[in-house]
Amino acid sequence: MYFKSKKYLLAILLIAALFISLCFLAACGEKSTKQNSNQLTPEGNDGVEKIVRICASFPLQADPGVGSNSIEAVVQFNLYDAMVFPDIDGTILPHVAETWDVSNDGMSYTFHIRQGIKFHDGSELTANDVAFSMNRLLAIGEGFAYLYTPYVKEAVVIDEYTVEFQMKQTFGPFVASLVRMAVLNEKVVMANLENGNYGDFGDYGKKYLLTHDAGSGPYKMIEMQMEEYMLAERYKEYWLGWSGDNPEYFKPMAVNDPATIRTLMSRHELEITDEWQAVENLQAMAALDGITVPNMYTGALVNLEMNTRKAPTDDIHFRKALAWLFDYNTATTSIYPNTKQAVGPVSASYAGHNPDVFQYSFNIDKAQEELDQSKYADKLADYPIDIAWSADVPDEEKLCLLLQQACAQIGITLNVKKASFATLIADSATIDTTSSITIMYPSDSYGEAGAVLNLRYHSATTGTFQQYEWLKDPQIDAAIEAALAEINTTSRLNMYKKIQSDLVDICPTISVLEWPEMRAYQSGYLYWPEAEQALSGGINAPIMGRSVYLRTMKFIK
Amino acid sequence: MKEMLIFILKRLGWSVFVLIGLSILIFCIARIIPGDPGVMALGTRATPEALEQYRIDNFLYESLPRQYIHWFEGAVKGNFGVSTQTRREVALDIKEFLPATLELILFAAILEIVGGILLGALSARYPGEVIDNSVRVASYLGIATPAFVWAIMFMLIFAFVWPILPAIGRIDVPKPPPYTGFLLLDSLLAGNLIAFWDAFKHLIMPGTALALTGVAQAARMTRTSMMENLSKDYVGAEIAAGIPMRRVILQYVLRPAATPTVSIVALDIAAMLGNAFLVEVIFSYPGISKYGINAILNKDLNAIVAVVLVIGITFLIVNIIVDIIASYLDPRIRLQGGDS
Repeated sequence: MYFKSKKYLLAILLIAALFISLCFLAACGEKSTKQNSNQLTPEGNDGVEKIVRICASFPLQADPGVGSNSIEAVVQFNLYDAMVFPDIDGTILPHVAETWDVSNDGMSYTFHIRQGIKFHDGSELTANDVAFSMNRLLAIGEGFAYLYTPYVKEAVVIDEYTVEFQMKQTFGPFVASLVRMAVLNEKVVMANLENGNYGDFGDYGKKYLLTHDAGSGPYKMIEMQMEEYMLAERYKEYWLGWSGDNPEYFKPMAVNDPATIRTLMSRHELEITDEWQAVENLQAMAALDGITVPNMYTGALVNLEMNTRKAPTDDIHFRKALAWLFDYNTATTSIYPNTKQAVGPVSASYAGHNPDVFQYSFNIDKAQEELDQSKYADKLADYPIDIAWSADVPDEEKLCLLLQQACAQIGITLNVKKASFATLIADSATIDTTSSITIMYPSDSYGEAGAVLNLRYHSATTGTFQQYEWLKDPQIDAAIEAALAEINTTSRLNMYKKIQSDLVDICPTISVLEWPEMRAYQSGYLYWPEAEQALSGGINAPIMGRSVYLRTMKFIK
Repeated sequence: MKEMLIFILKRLGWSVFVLIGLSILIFCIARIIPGDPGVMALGTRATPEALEQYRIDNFLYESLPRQYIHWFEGAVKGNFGVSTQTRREVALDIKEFLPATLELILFAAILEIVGGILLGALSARYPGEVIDNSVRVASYLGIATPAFVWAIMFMLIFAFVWPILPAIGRIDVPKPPPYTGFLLLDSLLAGNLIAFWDAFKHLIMPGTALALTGVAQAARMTRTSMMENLSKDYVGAEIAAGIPMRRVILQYVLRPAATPTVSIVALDIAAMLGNAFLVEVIFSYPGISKYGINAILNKDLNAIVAVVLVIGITFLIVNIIVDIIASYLDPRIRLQGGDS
């Protein structure tokens, strides 16, 4: 009517059709399923891409002097060699340190360094590099430094292949803790210093190590795109050697959305998911051909941590009532299927775990009995409690609702509070801001009960997200310190067991279940020994980050 | 021309004050977000000495006004401090992530303008007919459905069920040299059509998801505006005077009708800088929006202030451009602006 003729309409339709065609032309071009990683996805003779892509939270800090979260631990195991190495069953094996001697008083450790280990630049790893790495870690004070700063005075080079660690005080699990002491190439770091706070050491290479590595590990970083991905390739000269079917490339990627992860898994553009996927998403992926979801126990527990300094959870009977109110069976069968109830505050995976401590079960009558002994029994309406869960882990909400329902049966008002992880960290700063109960999945740095006890229940960690209980118990503190200082292993493990028993008596924590890292992976074309071990019911690499170790993975023909 | 120049200069002058006000506001807000920035930066297991050094380095023991002065001194030199998340200069992060989001938004904007005006014109051409009704229903659907829902739907349809488009990232083939940071442009400058094609494919799903709401709004706005103008006496007079219909439509109907559409689309483009977050997360697209939200969640003070400032600057620039376009389309606006 207002257009002169239909040719205008035709023109409009043609432009729209042109755009749609362009989109489809783009879409119908070469399928993109084999082109990730900037074309660095070589295929073996069998046509399978030999890259392991894993989703991860970014930005990740690959620098062992800085990073210490789960994915950073994974990256460190693959880019660097540590002094000792945890075997698949948790046994500590010699690695960079071939042998070691401990002085009678436990104040000096002499390590004999393995000869022939080559850094990624081809130079040999020596005692200088070991001493440099420890001293760097102590000076920076980030990452896993907290394991060593209270105990290690300094590292001193004795000769080219011998280094001595001098201690400030004895530290029984010192050798076990060295799984976290990655060795850096001193020459590379020193050649890339920038201005910083460390005197002659400038920034200690922190800026350089954001986007490079200085390690001797099985993989070598070749690209780091902040907020996007890290790409590492197999280090062909690795001293422990290779089989032909090991992954050529390793690529942690910043992919977090569940729908995206499921899509990538279905397209074979992702080999291993992160461990924070909701059970529903994991089950959906497990239904796809060639994808398996093993329960991998790495030493973490699902804990309901009760604020022992704030009413009404400051009352031991109130806390015990809550422990009786939790439905462990539903949690271990429906919310986290095929998992097992925790026994005490330390995972059964750790040396020094006490299997004989008292275990709560779901029992309303017992809960009522405990509640009746509480000083808050007749004024429950005045003391509603709250439980905080991390918005990043959707399954936690189900645990909250489970407890909320049970609490309602005996008149306790439980308010469920969703919070970002950053908010949970902020809330842990003071007693008042810490919720009555907070759900947390702490895992630890080395495979001994002392690591958990020290981090979770020593007063030094109050005010951090490691401890929402605010325990501040001088007797527990002293017992933990004494145990960690004990250099006789048998005595030390017995001391750990006693502490666990004492902790269960005062019930600061509802230890719900052994939390499995549930990662979907491409079992159709990837052999992953740790996952296979988990599927067969065995212990698998029970420390954070160790389970994703690419050197032992293989592509199945 | 002179009027236009005065108009632009006035706008720019006001913009400086707006930006300073914005920076003060966001600087203060960033510092009242719960959490210790030192702990957020170095982790809860950092030694007390490391935390102390961090607080000193970042002037956290000084008063808020002094902290702002330190920040301002750096900002005027282009130094926005170091991000606690990426551990590098925020300026470097912005240089890397801003072009990615701008490219995505420009792609979405082209879809909005072309798609919105075309659909709106079609509706206006056939009022009450099947096309008009279809566009109306589609527009309501577009307006009512958030971008992230479209994003998930596209992901499921075109990457999961019918895997024909790349699911994540900006590019799968080697990147062209970063002349501008805009991959499409850089690919063309490098004469690398393979990279251009690949980058284009990566833009289709997130760009379309981001654009659909705007397309729907633009279509409705154009249709309404065109219908209003077509019913005016001057259009009838022009037709009666024998002016060709094509000229009437293009010069006397579409031009004034496009003014509100352009304003809406332009504001939508600026808003997309902040709203693109979920789309960027779903497509793992390394953009400034995702970076900004992560900065807020992790109390990355320097990054928060810088990102908000960048979004503010973009908003102001887009506003100025809108005013210029609007004044070109409607001279009355230019005259009012020049006088004010």
